[in-house]
Amino acid sequence: MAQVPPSLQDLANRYNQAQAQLQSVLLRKQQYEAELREVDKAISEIEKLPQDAKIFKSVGNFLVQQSRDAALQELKDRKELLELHVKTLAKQESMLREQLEKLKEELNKELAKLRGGQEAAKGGG
Amino acid sequence: MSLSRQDIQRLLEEYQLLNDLLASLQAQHATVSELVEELSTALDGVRLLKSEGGERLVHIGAGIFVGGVFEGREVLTPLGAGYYAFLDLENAERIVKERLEEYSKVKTSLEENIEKLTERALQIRQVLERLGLR
Repeated sequence: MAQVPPSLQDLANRYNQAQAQLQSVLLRKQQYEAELREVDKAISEIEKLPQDAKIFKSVGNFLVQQSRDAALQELKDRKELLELHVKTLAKQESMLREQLEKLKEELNKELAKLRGGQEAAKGGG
Repeated sequence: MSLSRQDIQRLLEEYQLLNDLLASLQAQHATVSELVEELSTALDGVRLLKSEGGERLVHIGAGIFVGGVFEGREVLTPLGAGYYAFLDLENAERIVKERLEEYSKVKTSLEENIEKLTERALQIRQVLERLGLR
């Protein structure tokens, strides 16, 4: 079996690395999006409650009472942070997709070169 | 049907990948099914509290029930993201119902995906068995 040229091996390694990074980014983005949906749901439910509603927040094994305004403020802050995370990860995702596309093109070029070389060697032999 | 060594390698890789994916989806399905079960029980409980009646028997575990009269018309209900509030039974029922519908959809979607992937895995397995590789 023909030896894989180092340049091709390097490209393949970089491609696999970028692919793994993309998987990790997508997973994290998915987790943040799920948390964001949960926060949105909580905000919309708390907004329906009267001002003097008894609201509790889960802290470990305890439920701590909180005012409606404090709960809403905390959730809105958390929402802002989550949206920022999602935005950042979406940017990373598109960059990695571009990178993968470029690497794919380079890999195809290298493979075509390799095939061309093999054909020439066969013809000459 | 003649397959090159490369084709066979690709099929083996796909078969392995499908099996890994199926294991992951089945684990998710088990978790979601448990949640659906729990939410259904909660919904039944809230509906039972809504109905008129005196003493009720409540299961406290290991098949033991305790009799009691519920006077409160509000229940501490999860709103999401770790927050709870005392809601009247109508709203508590609505929230549990919404969650139940949401998770039931997820469960159905998982079942559909599991079915499709199982079908594909079976096709590959049959090909590999014909080739004497499985």
